[in-house]
Amino acid sequence: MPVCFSCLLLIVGVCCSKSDFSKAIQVSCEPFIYPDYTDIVIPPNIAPLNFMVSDSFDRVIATLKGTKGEMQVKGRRKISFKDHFFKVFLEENKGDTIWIEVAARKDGKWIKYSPFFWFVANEPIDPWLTYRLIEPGYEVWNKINISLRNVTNFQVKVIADNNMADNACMNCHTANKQNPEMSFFHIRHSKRGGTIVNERGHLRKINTTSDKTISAGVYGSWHPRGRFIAFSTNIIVPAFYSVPHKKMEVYDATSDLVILDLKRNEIFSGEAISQEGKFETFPEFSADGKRLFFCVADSVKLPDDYKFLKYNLCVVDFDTASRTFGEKVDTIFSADRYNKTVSEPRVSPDGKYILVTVFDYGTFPIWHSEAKLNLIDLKTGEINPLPDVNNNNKKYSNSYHCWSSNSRWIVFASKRENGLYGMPYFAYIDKKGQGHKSFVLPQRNPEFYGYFYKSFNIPELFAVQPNFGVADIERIFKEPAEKVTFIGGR
Amino acid sequence: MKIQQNERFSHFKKYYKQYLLLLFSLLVFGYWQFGFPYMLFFQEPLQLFLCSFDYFIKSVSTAGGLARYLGEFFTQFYVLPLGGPLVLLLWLVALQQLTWLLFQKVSFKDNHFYLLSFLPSLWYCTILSEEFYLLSGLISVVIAMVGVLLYVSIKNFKVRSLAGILLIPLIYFVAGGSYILFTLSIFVYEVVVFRKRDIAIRGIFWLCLLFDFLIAIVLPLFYRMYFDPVPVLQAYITEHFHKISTVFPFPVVLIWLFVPFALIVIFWVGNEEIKKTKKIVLYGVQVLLLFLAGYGGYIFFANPKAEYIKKFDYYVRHENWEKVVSLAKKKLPRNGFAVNYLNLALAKTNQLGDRLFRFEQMGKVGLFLPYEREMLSAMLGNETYYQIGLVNVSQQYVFEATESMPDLRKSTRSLKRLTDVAIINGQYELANKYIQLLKKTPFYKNWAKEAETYLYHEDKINNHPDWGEKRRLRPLQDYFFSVENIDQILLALLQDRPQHKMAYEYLMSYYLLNKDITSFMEYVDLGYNIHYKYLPVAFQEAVLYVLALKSREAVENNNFPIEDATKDRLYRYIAIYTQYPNARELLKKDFSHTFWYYYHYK
Repeated sequence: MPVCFSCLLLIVGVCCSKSDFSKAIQVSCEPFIYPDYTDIVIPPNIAPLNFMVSDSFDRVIATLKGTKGEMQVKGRRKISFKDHFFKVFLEENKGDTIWIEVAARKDGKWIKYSPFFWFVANEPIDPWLTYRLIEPGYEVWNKINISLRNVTNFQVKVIADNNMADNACMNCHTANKQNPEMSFFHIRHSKRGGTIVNERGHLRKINTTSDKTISAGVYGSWHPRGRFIAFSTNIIVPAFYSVPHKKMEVYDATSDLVILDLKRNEIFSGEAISQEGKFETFPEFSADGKRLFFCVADSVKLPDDYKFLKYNLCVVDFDTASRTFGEKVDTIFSADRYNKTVSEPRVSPDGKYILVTVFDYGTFPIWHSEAKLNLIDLKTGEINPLPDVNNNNKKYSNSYHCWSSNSRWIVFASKRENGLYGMPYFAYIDKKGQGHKSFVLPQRNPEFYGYFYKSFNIPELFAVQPNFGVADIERIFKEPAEKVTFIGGR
Repeated sequence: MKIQQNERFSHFKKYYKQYLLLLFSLLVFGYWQFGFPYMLFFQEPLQLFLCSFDYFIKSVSTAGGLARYLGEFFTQFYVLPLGGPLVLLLWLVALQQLTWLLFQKVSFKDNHFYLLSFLPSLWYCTILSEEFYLLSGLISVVIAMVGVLLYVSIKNFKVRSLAGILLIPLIYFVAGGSYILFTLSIFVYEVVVFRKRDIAIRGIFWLCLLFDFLIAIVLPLFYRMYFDPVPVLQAYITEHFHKISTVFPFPVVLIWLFVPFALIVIFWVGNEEIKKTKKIVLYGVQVLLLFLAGYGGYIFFANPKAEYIKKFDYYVRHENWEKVVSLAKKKLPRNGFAVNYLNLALAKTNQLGDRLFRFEQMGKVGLFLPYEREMLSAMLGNETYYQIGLVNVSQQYVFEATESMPDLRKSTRSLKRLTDVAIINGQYELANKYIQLLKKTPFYKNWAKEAETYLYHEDKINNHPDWGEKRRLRPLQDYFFSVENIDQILLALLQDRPQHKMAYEYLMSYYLLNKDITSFMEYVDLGYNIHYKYLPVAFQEAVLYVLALKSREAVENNNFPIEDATKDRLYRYIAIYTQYPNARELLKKDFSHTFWYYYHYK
């Protein structure tokens, strides 16, 4: 078997010997490669960034030049790095720049492009990425699974599959950034649904509904110590546009926030987070767990005034001992001031920044082509529109973002490729809070995304591998859910 | 004379197998070509077969994947005239021939069970009349039969035992659930046939059989644990028999059971000397079984009403509107889908307002199918929205139909429509994504390549007879779509496009079918933008009815473009309606196709 494999490598022409381009035509632009991996900052532990050139070429050579060494890879149209060589090369050039020279052959003539760079950051990215794979449809789904990808190589496995759970919807797999062995996600099923809480591999299924709350928990955030999860409770309404450039609007007819106490199986709320006449959603605990960020909007007449539904980003104190909220609610992002709406706040694990999605109106950004990530400095209140991360040349939404545990990397879902299918993009946020050009999750076959017809939904980074699998979910799905008691709150 | 008869008899006796095979072939071909051709035309575009190495590898990497792959490969030929019937004939005859070969293996060469060898094929032929049963299931059974034949051909016990151990997993991975047929058949063969012949059976024999069974039981569990997380039953049966993977394909399971059972019977009966009277009974029973399988299967699985709707669907997909109307003339549609298609065809041939009440109507469903979370209504319902210019709604319906596909797979039909909409909406990256997939299909790649030449060429798209037209019909205002408020949607569309004839006629028809004459009269004036010489007949009738409620002068002195003949008919209608207690019966003959009759009596 190893002999055959070696032969195969020789046949496809992937090797690490050098080629002579002395007669190549030099052009003064960078090559058009897919995926676009030109001029990016990359983690030192990322999987090989395989790419390809246009199909008008019949041969391509990429030469990687770092301070410590050089590597050359050939291919017909695709550049596919050997995992081990790539890993070693990045490790050796950590904190340094790698220049990539691409030469491609067309009609027997070689064209040599201006080099582009990869800056290898010192800080690694969390190695595990989970995401939900789903067709980007309207209301109906069929196959849904939550997959786990090792971003340092190409290994991927399914950890929850709705085929094993009576085709129930599954969503929102969310990590506890301070306690990476904890996560939760929801299984929506009329009889056997619930929130699956993963506490260091021990799974619990909790029914978060109560007759005093609007719905079961929807968007959630872990308290850093792992005892509480803040949830929004929402009545979610989908509506469908008739005009060509818009697909659908998903809005809340009403919403509030609640906190689930995992220790006592109780749910409580507070005046600050469930005000009359206001829609509260997208809770997010601060890194120290002493404050709760959330989005809140004044209720409007829906669906008529949906364009006036704009959310502020606010914050309120939270006391874990007494399980109460402060009385004063501060506004971090004012919808009135910017005439925009904000959603999906995610605090960096170091507590310095909060990353949000900003768009024109509403609460659900994934169908808003203008939705962009913004980084708010929690100390100064300064808002960074992250132009390089968002890739302002592309008009499609960036949303569902998540931080790496070292606060230097983010992952988010972007529809920039075609406006419909979400793909996971990474971006480096440096110590000064500046975002760098984002790049898509690498795949073994660089053509992968062209022929992949599912959205990568809610990408979430994990420092530690989530310790459960399909069989565990199948088992817990069959078990009865733990019930919770609503105890009010202030 | 007697000599001639004897010659004929001996000729028939010599060639009766060939004659029976010919008869069966003619029956199968005729059944599909003349009985249910449109079901095959309907099935074909509801799959997506890709001619690529990646797709092949992906397909065969699942249990039963090769059967599925072959099933999809052959199903794509349904698109050709005669293609479907010939493909089915090929595989059904293959099954019959393999069954016969197997029967010969357990008995002597010219045994009396040739008729019985047609039973699985005949039964499967009828099973396939139900649109959800897949060709891949038949192919799976054929592959398993090949495996059984291969197995029983091996004379050496040790080699055969080894072959059994290897063939069970092989057939499971290649043919899926039909490995059950294989396992049961070889078990029967070993126990009934070989055991009988080899008296000296040792413990190793039973051990081998036990091992075979263990493999057969454990294999699917192993598969679901390490390869594909599927429910337990699905791991055993596999998903290649029925479009809904969770459905237990009981009719196919009967074949799995029939083959080993038949082997036992043939072995015991077929190897004995049979007297003439017994022979007659034997043949009689076989004929009876064939009749029961054929007729019973037809009753269980065939659906002529569905075939009628699929015929409509075929002509709508090919935009042969005249044919749809002529079909309706021959046989009045009494089904929501068919009426919906008929009204669409009437609109596309400029007859909706004139002939709306010439056909049986079913209320607003006949104009717009509401979205329901299943494939058929969404897939068929998208056509009207697409043709009227509500392309986003069409996109929504098709996308949801794709998600509601029973086999959870994509289809060329939906991909083509999604491409249409993406091009019309100028979403070229998205259109290109669909086009690249369609370019990998043997029968749709030319369409895809042609579509590709339109991307980013605004003028070319604007001049395209279909896409250009839809661009000119699209809504301009920004609002949420809801089929419950379809009249408001049409009104908005008419505000955007005052000369949108189809929108106008659908709106007016919607009011008339709902007997909402107040709204009808409020908006009938919008027809002036269409520049009719005369209002469509149904609309004239409705206007006159309202005016007649006021006075005869109102009828005579109205400013609507209404023909005198319609007025005359109204007066005749009124005379009967007001004077006779049994007016309904009297009016039925001459006025059942009028708005007035619909309004009063339906």
